[in-house]
Amino acid sequence: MSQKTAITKKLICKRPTFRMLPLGFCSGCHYGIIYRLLDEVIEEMGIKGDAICIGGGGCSMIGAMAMDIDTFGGPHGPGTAIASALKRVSPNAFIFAVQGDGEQGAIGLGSFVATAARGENITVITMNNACYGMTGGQLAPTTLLGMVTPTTPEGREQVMSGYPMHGPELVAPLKGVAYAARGTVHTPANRQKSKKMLKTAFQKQQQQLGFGVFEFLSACPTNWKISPTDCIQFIEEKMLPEFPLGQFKNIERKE
Amino acid sequence: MAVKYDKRVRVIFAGLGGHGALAFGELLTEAAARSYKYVSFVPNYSPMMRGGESETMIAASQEEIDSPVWREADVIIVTSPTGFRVAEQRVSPGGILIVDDSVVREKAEREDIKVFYIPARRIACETGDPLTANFILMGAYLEATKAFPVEILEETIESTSKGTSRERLLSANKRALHEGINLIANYKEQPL
Amino acid sequence: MTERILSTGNDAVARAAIYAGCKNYFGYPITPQSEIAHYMARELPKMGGCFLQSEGEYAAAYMLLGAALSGQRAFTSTSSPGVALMQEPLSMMITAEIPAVIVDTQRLGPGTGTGGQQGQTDYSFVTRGVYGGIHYPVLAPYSVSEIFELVQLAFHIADKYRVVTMVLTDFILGRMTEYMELKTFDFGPLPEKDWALKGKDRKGGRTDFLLTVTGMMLDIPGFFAHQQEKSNRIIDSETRYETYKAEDADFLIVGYGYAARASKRAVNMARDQGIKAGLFRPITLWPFPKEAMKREALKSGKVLVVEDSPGGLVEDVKLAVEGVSPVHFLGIQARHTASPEGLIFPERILQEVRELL
Repeated sequence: MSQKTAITKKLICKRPTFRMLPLGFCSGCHYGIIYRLLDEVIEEMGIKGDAICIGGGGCSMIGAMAMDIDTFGGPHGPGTAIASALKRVSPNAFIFAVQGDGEQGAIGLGSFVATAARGENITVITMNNACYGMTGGQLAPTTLLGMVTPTTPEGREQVMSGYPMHGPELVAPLKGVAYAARGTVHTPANRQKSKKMLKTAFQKQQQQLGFGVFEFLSACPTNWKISPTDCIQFIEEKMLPEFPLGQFKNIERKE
Repeated sequence: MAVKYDKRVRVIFAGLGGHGALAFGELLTEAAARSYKYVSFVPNYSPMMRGGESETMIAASQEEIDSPVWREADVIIVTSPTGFRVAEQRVSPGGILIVDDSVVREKAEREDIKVFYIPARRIACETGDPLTANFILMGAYLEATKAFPVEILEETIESTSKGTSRERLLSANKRALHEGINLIANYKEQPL
Repeated sequence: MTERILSTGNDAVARAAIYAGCKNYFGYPITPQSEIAHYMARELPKMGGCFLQSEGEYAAAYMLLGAALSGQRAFTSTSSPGVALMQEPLSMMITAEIPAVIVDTQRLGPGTGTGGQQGQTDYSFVTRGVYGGIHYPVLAPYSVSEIFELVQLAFHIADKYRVVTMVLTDFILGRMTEYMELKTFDFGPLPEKDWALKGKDRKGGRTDFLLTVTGMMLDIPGFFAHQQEKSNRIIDSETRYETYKAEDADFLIVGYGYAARASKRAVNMARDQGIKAGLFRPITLWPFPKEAMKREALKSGKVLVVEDSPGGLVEDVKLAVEGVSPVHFLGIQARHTASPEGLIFPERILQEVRELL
């Protein structure tokens, strides 16, 4: 028993300091894991004193409220525009925006792409749960074909609602983008891989290489209307074929 | 405090986009600013930058200018055929209307104003610099009103065109200015 | 000795912002105010400031919010349809109490409007506050030199009350050239911006969370009580207006912006004809100078509101006057339509005054 505890202590990082606990996410939601990862990386990189988080309007904002760093949150979609300006006027601060997939791929798409094209030296964290979590699980740009949501009661059909959107792949070809990648936290191994990629994304901002975007796949048991364990299977079987993991762009120096 | 209406300049240039109303207004405002304590200049044009009705209002006074916009002006320079009748109506009684009659074919009907017909556009084209037509009209304005000495205008043209694309036209513009002055100095009333 | 220069109204906006110590500008091109952006794009980089042309007005106002989060002064300028696109960010800033300045150089009409046309058709739209039932101060200059002063005042009011402050000009004011004196106005001390987001290391380890989700931060009545208390302070301290020859007037003309200039001339022309006319000019459109308006209306007996719109200011005047004297209206239909864009000229105002006598 005592040996097991020792191993566990070795594997898991120091408990992050949150301003507000519990986070209040639904059971089985992966946002809590993602926020913990964010906090771990920020602490390990020693940037907590410089970090400012621009949260969005949606479930992603709840985690932003809890982080023990300077934060702003509420508006749905324009996080990249806010972060762009804040970084420009305070270049020594470490600025990241957290967005849901609907914010990034729908209402905030214009700013997301424009910010990437300008090569703003900020990091964008996307949380992709294939639906609008807070408003009731409606069709998001990332909803899979065939997925039933309140606004696609017969399942998403290409003729009606088009194909799922891929944020990191969309902006990766833009010259202003230094890093674009996707990860998931539905298994411990993937969690560790994602943490590494998240750290790389953050390092691009420290090295002033340009725009970085990292997308997390996440479960949404409440809106998918399946159990948390079935969610893991859903990610494995349905989401991964649509949303490939890995790095789509990773530049080491500016052209 | 009563405003004295006699000690002031109030001019409208009514043309079409591209006729040089803006340049006319800017130049006259700059020149007026050298002699008057207060000036105002309002460019007023339709959404079309080229070809639409374009008008500038220039005022100068030793006392604070109450309004930079007015219906009636003491002097109106008109180069717009479509705006001609309105321009004629807007000259204050006893005022002056200067018409570019190479563009405007109609004749004024009012008898309580002084009207000069100056073929500025045609003369400018003949000298090879159509862009100087508004400077010919400026010269005509100066001579017809004696509002400013020509030297002030010349100085203003020099200082405002220095280092700009207009510098190329400096001597042509000055020549045009004097052309306009001569046209009025030797002006003969046209038989009706 | 202060320097006296010729400037357009739009340039005066830009110069005033720089004189007020604002080094951050965000905007999207729209006629008739793009010259403000041109000026900032030229000057700010020289001063180490931030000029950023956004992907739209919505983004411009959110960039304004982002820059203002740092505690630095920031401003944007736009024209009517652009203000509509900025409504959400304006409401967000007011909710999270992030101070910033926005300049609306009005253009004519609903829809796309007409970029090259004068209009005062934003009055009701900008003076009723943002969605969510909260007001913000709106200042209405009527000359180039007053633009220069009121833009600086707008920054002061914004910082003093942690609110978004608007300066409302129009096509004529923006494009016209007049003299102005270059100077920094001192409006008094300001509170420290201890709420600004800078990273906890720069704030002695403290962290702040600025949230626009009203219900999550405060109880709802508490939030509105706080906003109301702030509005009351602004009403008490910042209400501004001006009168011209109103002391002995028995006919009062009311207007703001360029219409107030035309009205001022109409007053002078009327006086020349022996008509005792006067001018009442609200300088703050919100808070509207209600008490002064009522007092002056009561004194003169007859009121004519002149504005280049179907009617916006006239509603505020009627509310303020509370029926103590008749309120007449001369609006957009009184334009001299034969000129390229048609303005309400002093001569037309005088004609109306004579007809109403």
